[in-house]
Amino acid sequence: MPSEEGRSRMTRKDPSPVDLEIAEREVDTTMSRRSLVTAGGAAALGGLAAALLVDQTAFATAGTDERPNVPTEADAALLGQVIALELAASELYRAKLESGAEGDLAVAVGVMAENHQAFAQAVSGITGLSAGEPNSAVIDANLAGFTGSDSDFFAAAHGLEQTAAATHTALIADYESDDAIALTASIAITEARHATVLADLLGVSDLDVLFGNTASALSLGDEA
Amino acid sequence: MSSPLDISTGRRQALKIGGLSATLAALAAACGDNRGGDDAPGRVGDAPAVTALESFEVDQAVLLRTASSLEYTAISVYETALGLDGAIPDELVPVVNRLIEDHQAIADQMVELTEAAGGVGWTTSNPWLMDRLVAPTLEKILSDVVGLVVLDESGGLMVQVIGQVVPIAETVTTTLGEITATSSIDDLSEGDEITFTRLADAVPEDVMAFAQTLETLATASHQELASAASTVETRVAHLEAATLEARHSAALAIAIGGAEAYVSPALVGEEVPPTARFQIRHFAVESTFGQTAQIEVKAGPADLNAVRESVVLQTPAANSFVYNELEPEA
Repeated sequence: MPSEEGRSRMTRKDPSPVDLEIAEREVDTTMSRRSLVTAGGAAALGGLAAALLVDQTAFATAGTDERPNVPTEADAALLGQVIALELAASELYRAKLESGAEGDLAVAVGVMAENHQAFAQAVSGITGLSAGEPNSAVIDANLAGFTGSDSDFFAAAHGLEQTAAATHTALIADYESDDAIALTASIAITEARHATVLADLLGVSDLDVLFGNTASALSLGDEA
Repeated sequence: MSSPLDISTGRRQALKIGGLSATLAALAAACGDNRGGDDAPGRVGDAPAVTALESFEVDQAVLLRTASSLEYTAISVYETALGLDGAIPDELVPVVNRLIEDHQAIADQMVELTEAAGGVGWTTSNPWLMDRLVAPTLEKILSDVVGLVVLDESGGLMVQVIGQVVPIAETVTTTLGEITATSSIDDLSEGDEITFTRLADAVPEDVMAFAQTLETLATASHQELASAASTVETRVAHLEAATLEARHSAALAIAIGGAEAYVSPALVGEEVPPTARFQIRHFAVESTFGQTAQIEVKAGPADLNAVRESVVLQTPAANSFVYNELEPEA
């Protein structure tokens, strides 16, 4: 197990999508000479590590210090709905695989199914909420498109990715915690990339469609 | 009970005494007066003196000025590329013009938010990135292939170029394609250099690869900035910019690599080999989550041993922030 000082040195520059909470050690109030020297050395090394990390934390010094790290109750209420949305998207892509997809398309569809599953798991990880059930309304609204012809699938999947990206962009305004904000940003970006792949498969040449997003966000907050 | 006069010393005791002595010596040295000497950290060799980075405050205005500087940097790269004959494939010129429009719109928004945050909007490219990333990369891309005159087994003159030894001629054929000499091939001797044009389409390929990674860098930067934003309006603006630039990045990856560039083989546990011209392959969907790690791309021709230089792009940090104290060059 890495030491405290070791963990400091391994801190990533990029915000991790998952906050691994490290259990605090029980405070030992007895201080022998050996522990005093050890503590002094650790403090010095900790200071050095902190100095080395100045550049990496520069972004975080500009006024977000008072924000909680872990999701608040209000965040968790919204994120619980996000889990259901992501599980629904994953299930829809799996339905497409079962209804028939081959070659490169099957690989792309499989990756998108796995990615949405991973999004749900990551949200579950930061909130402690169990994965639960997929959003049945999202599945019902999209299942026919996803299991129809390839062109029906491209259109339905493109629409779903655009809607999901728009939903995350709307929700990021409501979140109160660092983890919810950082994870949402990393998810929305990948969904925008999914949408671009699907637009290409759909044969989109209109740059407003390729680069734009006119989809409306889902009103997850109403149910939360 | 041992006698106080017992002079036998075990290994453990010796270590304790040694450690205590060293600690006390350090303490005495730290507390002493008139220690003299240089306060700077110890250095080895005859390196130039280290210039300490000035410490400026990083507030929301600085982050937003940095964001707009990135947008203007992208615009500058695209405008430069459009001005180079053949650097942008004809069919992609409308796309590049659209990318410029999008970056300008984001830049305008970042400038507005900077002013709302009490700062002065930054309306030009990022000087650090332009000096240390963009200019050297474009120079590499536009540089000629260099070959070296060598002797073959019979003592005849040949040229080693892109990892191959081939006969000297105005137009040399390599396994990667033909290249034409841009320097004289007369009166050569062993060890002389000959310069050649780049392989066909090598310049537009490099320009597009660099553009794609720049879009990925912009995406990653706005992703980080979304987390660092202190106001809801700014946070949403950064995420909107990140998703738009992610679309740019994905579209350019597909324009470069076609359907094979939809998703990275790494996502299904496969190797990602470079292209035939040793370029690092990038994909529309390269990872499960948006990444903010450094991005690598090859730029410029391969050297004598067919090795191409890498350019590494990183999201803004202390060196590349546009601090409030910084003013645009006149």
